[in-house]
Amino acid sequence: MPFLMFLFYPEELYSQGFTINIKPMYYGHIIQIDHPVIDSLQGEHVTFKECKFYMGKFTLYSKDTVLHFDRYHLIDIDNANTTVLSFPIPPSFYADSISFLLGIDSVTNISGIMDGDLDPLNGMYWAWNSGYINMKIEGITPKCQGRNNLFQFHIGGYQAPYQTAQKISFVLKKTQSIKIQMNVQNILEKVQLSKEYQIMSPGKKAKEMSESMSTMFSILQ
Amino acid sequence: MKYIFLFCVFCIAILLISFESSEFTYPDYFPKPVYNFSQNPLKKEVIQLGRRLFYDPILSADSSISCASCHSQYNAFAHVDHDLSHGIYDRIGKRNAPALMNLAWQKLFMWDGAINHLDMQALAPITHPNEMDNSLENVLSRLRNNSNYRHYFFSAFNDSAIKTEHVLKALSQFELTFISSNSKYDSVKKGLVSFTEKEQKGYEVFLQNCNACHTEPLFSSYSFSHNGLPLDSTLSDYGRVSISLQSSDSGYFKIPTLRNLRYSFPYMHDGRFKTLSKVIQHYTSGIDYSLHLPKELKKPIQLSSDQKVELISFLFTLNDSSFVFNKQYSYLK
Repeated sequence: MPFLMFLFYPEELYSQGFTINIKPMYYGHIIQIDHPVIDSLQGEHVTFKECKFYMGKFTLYSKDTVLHFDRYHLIDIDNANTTVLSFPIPPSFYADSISFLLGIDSVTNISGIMDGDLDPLNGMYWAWNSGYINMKIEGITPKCQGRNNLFQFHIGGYQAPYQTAQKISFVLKKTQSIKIQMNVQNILEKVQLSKEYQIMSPGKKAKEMSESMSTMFSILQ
Repeated sequence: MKYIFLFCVFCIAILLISFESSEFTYPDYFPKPVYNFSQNPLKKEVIQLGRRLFYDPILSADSSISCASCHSQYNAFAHVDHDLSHGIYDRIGKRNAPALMNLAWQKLFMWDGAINHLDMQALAPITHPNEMDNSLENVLSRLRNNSNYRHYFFSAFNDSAIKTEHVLKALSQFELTFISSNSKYDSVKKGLVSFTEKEQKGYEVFLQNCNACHTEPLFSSYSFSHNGLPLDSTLSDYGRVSISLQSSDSGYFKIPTLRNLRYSFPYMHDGRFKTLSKVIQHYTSGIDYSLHLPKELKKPIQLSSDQKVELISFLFTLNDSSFVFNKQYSYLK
């Protein structure tokens, strides 16, 4: 039973940081917005136009310490400043597991207006059906039957039974830094882009896609 | 000496508390508000800023309409004499703008409950193409370019940066002060006056037939229900189901308050009834019983013509002229 040492960690006390580097990939190729990447299996290319999502409530565990960081981070793969996260830790702290939320929890969704990464100005909020968009993935690929071959997946929803925030956890080898690889093909393989190319409201389809999103992460140490 | 000091601290604390609450007072027979004031503590300067924003067409794309265009004070902040409210460029929406009052007691907003917090509510009309057709970016940039607003925001929040959070919290604060609790019904509750015989009989009709959904003292349970209205096929508006995605919510809409009905006509989510007698006629002889109705409406409501008159005279005791003419809610010159 790990001793809950710091629940809300006094960040200013330590300059040492646990770093998380987020690497969005498509069939092993790094994704860059507006740069086509090839699906090496089928030879199709995809040009991602947008890839933004929320990660938050990171918890780092070691044998005797649990460090919890309550805030949410908006990751925009077009903005390198957002794809590296750093969390203050004591110098002797090495995490042996990690958990986080992909998307915004339901309590935060009904807590009113917030600033910073949760500001609706970031375009990750539905004004006409209150709630955060947990993840936006948009792109162009020839097999997509949408207008201009565009697919748009805006995945969110916090109300039962269609909650879309996913808790994700990994066991680590004692470490102070990790790379989280996102295998975006896991999402696109699950949908037939010829038929399903836009989801922009909460519901069954969004829930299903959020479940495939939760399978796309892997850890590189 | 120590006691004198403690007494002074106590007096100052009482003064501060009474100052805080002077912006937000409600009768002791009201339930506790659901709005979380600790995240947005009321402050005079913030309320006044919200009041400026509420009346300022700067929020709409072509600076033609303000919140008050569809929520006018003299109509208990509803949209007078329009069944469906219209916004920018004379575009018509699909619902009747609801009256605004006692908002601190409500968790969900809009006829379908699409908005889950008062702070988030204004985002919807600001960005809807049939309402203000604007973007949040544009609103913020206009406000930031206005030196008066930079000053108002600074005195409200000690921050002239003008952020989404502050715009929305200011609008919330002004709207939170819309408390209607000074009708004749309230005076009766406070023991200051009595109902006439007709009003008293109407109150009894109300308690038997209406109170389950339009629950006193707010005159709404603020939940969702079907009131037996046949679907208007030109609108095909099924209400709450589009948000909750639960088929049992088809045709369900937010139960409106019955306070200030004199000012807030026409009635129903699509404004289909212009008069209260049409509304009562609907409940006594217009309900479509083939619809999926809540248990409260399954038994037909039968009222004699006398009872209908009595009910209307009771409903008129819920009109609060001091609310619709309260100068604190009017356009700030």
